[in-house]
Amino acid sequence: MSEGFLKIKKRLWIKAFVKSAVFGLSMSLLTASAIILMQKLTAGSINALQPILFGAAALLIGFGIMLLILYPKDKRIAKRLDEQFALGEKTQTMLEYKNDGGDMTKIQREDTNNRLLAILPNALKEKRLVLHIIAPVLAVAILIPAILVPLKAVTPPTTNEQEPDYNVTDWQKAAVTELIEYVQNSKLEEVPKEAVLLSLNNLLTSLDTPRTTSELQMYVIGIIVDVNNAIDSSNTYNEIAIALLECENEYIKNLAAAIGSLQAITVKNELDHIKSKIEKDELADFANTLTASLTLITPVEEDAMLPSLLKFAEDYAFISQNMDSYSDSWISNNISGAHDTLYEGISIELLNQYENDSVRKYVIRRLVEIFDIPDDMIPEDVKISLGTIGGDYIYDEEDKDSNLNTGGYGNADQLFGSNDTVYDPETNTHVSYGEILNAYYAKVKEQLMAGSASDTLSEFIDAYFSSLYDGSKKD
Amino acid sequence: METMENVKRFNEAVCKIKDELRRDVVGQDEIVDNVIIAIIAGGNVLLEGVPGVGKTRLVRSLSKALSLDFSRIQFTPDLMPSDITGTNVIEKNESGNMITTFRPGPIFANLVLADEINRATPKTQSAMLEVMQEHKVTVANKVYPVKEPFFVLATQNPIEQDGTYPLPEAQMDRFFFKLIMTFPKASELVDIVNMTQITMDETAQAVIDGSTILEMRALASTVPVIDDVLNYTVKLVSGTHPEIDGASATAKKYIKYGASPRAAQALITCAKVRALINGNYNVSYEDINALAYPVLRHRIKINYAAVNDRLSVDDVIGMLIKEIKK
Repeated sequence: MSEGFLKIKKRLWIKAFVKSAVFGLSMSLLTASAIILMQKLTAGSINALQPILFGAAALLIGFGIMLLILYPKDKRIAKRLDEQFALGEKTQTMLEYKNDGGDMTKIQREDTNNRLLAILPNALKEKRLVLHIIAPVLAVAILIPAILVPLKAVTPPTTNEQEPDYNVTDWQKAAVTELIEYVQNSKLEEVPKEAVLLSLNNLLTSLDTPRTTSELQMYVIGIIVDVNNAIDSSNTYNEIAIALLECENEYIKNLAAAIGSLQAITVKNELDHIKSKIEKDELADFANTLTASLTLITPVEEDAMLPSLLKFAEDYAFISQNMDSYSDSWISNNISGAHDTLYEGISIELLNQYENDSVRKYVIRRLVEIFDIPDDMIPEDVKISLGTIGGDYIYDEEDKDSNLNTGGYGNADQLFGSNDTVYDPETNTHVSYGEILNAYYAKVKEQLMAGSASDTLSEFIDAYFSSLYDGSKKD
Repeated sequence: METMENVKRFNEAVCKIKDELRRDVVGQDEIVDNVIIAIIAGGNVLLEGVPGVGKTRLVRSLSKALSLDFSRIQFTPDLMPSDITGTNVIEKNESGNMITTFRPGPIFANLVLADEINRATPKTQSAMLEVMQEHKVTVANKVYPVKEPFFVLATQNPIEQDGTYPLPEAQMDRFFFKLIMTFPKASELVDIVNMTQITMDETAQAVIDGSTILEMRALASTVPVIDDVLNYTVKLVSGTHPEIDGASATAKKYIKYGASPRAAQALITCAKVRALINGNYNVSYEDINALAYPVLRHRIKINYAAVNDRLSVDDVIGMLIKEIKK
């Protein structure tokens, strides 16, 4: 191979090597700087291993790629020399015919060699030098901010604003304790009483468990629902009243309304009304319809209301089946007997269920008061049932204004408050609350003055009775 | 080295030829160079020029400088093929018998000047075809080789096309070069006038002979050509064809018919000679590009679009050279 060519080729190799090294180092520096800069801006700390590893990889890859690109192949060198020095394809010819033995080609090689030897290696123009400068410039451009940019200040993670724990007061614990005593001393039936007491005791013991306000409120809601369900499952009046209201018989519907009021006197009045009004030809329908409605109801253990009503229906069925064989007086007597039997069986149950419902509503209302449960947190069905005692039963619009109840403070012409009746323990009946309001308040006041309740509770009770006195005048 | 000596002698011979020709031909340096290249390469040349520019004088001077047997054929419309090639005649031999003897025509010379070749009929023109390509003449089924080296230098007048017969493509293709002799410059004309006041005859002296030309030809043929240059030449010639796949845009737009493969042969052969004359020992792109004009201008036919754009054949060749990538 031509000496002149080899000299130039060696020079080009060195240049290629140097350029590749510069490029590789630039890539390495650029990569490492970029990683450091990123770490400073995002992570807030520098992991030295990453820039070192990636930088080394970039160095090798950059060097390799650039060397492949700049690799001075003979043909490429020859072409470059011919172009740059206007050699008229002499170098390329010399290369292509390097093994040719002809005389002319020998002369050609010698001539070309002489020309190449005359070329100073430094005379070789640098091709695309700008491109080789870009990489180092870029590397420096990234290096400077990588050095100058400070580490990102790491701010401690912000904690979510937590709801503070609810601070259960001693008064609240005392109020719950009083409520438990109330239930224990109440006339609530045994089965629901056990369940209610269990719920309330669980509530009392769990008041020491740290909870947020919303957690406690939800827990109390749960207790309320438990109390509601426990007592509701023992009371059959509502289910019976609703079932009887579904039928088409007016007598039964009215009876249902009376049962739904949980007022024995109302039931008595309605039974008397039926007795006085029912015709012979209505007996059969009455009996059958009543029986059909009652059979849809699921019996509850220890409930006397449903069995009494079923007996009542049986009695009417017997009368209707045999009325043709007997006189009107027989019919009338038997009807009276059936009514008396029903009333006897149902009146106590009405009273029991009334007591149950009273305790239910009282306990729920107290829990709402004690723990300040927002109205919108109380389940709708519970809220509805906290209406008037017996208020689960939905009256017809017509019945709303009817004078079914005669409660209220004052006399018939001037009654205050609602039509609610209250239980009179003296007479074991339900009476207009206005009649015994004073007696109740006196009793309560006596106990309050004896210090049986806390100051807060005393104020509450006072306010309650005061509101009963005020009420709203009945039109 | 013997070849080195040969190269020296080659260049000396060329210089001598040029010197001798300059004694009779003023200016026209490029024409002279190309004629010498064609002669050494062994090709025929078509000289075109207006009357009086020195076409005939150049050829006659060349024949003297090369010590070649010279023959001039004045082509006229009534010229017959046998007037060129020769014919068989019946004559009495020494013993008095009538025999047929071949009388060679003026074509049987080393250097034939076919003056105003386009004035002869196509039939007569075609008589030149065989001898120009194959350097032999067939008369009455008998083949008569011509002397080597053999060249035809034809002339034609670009004006006065009335009564002329354009050379057929086949014949045009047998000319290595078509050279356009232009009207001399004023200073050159002064020299011409002064020179011809002394004598109208050519004063060139013999400097080489036919065998030397053959040796020069042989030497030139050994000049190497790299594949890239060869491929470029092929691309250039192929690029004159608008109908082939990958035709050049210039060809598609301006060329009706492209050059034959003889053009590529002529280019390479002449490029080798040119390289050696210029002191190079290899063919370069520059050699090819320089010779593209005389080699291609009579081999391609431009279309109406080129005429419409007022482009000459040489303009189209120039566009081709620019378009074809090395």
